[in-house]
Amino acid sequence: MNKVEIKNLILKRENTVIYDKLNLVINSGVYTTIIGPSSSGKTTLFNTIIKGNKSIKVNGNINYVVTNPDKQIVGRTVDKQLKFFMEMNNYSKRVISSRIKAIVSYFNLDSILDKDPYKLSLGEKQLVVLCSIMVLDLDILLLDNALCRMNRNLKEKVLSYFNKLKKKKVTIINFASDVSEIIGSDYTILVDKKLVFNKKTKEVISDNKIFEENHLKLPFLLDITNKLKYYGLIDKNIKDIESLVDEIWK
Amino acid sequence: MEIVLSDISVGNFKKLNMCIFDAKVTAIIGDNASGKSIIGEVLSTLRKPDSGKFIIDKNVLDLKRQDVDYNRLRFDIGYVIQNTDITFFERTVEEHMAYQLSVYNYKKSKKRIIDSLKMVGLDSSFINRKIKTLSDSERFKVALATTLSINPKVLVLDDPTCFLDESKKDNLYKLIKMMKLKYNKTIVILSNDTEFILRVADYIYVINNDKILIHGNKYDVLTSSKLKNTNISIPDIIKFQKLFEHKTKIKLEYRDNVNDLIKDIYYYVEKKSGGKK
Repeated sequence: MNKVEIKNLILKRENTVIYDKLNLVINSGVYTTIIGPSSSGKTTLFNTIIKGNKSIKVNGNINYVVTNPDKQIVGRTVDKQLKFFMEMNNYSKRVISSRIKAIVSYFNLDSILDKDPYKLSLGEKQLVVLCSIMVLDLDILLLDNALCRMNRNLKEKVLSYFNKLKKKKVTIINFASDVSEIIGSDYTILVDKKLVFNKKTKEVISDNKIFEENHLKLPFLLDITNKLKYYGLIDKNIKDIESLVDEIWK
Repeated sequence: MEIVLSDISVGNFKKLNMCIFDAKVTAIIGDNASGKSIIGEVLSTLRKPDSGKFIIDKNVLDLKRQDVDYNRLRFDIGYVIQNTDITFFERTVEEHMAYQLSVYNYKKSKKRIIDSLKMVGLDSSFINRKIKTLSDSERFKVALATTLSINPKVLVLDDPTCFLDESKKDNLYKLIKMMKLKYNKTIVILSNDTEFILRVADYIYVINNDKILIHGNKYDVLTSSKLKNTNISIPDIIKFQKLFEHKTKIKLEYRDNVNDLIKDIYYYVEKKSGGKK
């Protein structure tokens, strides 16, 4: 269940071939980040998976969030937006209220519940739309650069929420233009009009060359830990800035 | 060109004072609803303030006086927005730029168009390309070249990094640096991308709730505790340096890139361990 299988997919945009025989398997309960430069065909691949294609086999329901939140805002208030998709799918009142309560307290949405989603900042809009999808019973969650306008703190909070979803066996596929979004995911896939690599995120993070060879900007934390290791100032991987400072200044 | 806004009242702003320094990059940051864009509109002369003065290179332009030619500023201040030109999709680059020149009553000059394109790093073959066939970053460069063709002294860039990936931000960084150092342009950037602002800006204004919350040198602003109550995200490198200072009680000279920072840390760790490490 909850599996996406792509076999010999050929994709064209206008007259140029973007993907020639793409093969990819994403297993159930796995959290994958797909990165790549802009116009590398991320969104094209995203759209193809959603629309369906004879080369793509999907087990389970797909729910998705696109990069422009305005396209998915349906509620007149944030509260209504959060409930909308659950009500559409006939969730019981009890389930709706308990899930809303949980997500509102996790992301501190209390203060904006009565606001009109259109009047929020772009980052907040993205969060509200994402939350309104994440409260559903998910099989497969697809995101197309859906976190791009959130600020760093918020983004980290959302990324750690994904680990909660993972425990419920949700398959998450995050198409991202910000390389730092790979942190926390199980697998990282780089596409640039073809599959460049599909590796465990751990391997990617500990290998500087991968970033250099593919012209990716290393996230700050990885950049500085790798350089500190080179100078012998630290000797292990660090998960956040605070513990990095502690490690240097023992 | 130095622009001073003195006691400007516009929209919800009351008596706004602000200085845009000559041949420097000034960033104006703030939330979507902070009123930042109103300042952009004022600077780019799209919106006339209710009252106040502009002081441009020491010449006072008092908006109360009837004979002040506010629109004249349009020749000195060029406004560049991204993802524009959508209505001109069918036009070629040359047609588009010639139209802009005619709006400003300049004669159509092929040389002028080619020269402006060269300033942003596009060669003369681009004049026959249709706008719709350009990539996003090429389109931005054409928009910038179009603005440059009227030879403004100030460039106002509205959210230039929105929808750009890291490698394209790098190109933009180089382009802005060149505009500043080679062509002596005064640059104003309206943005929320603090990581990018840290690299490119000299001076920062933070706008919050229709007021200037804080302004100053980029390091002073980005390390200020006043930013805590806003939604503005602090770049990781600054967060790290603040934490490092807090723990070690050492006063760092702030850096905007990892390579310089590493050298400083190496120096202090070495000093602490007495040369053992």
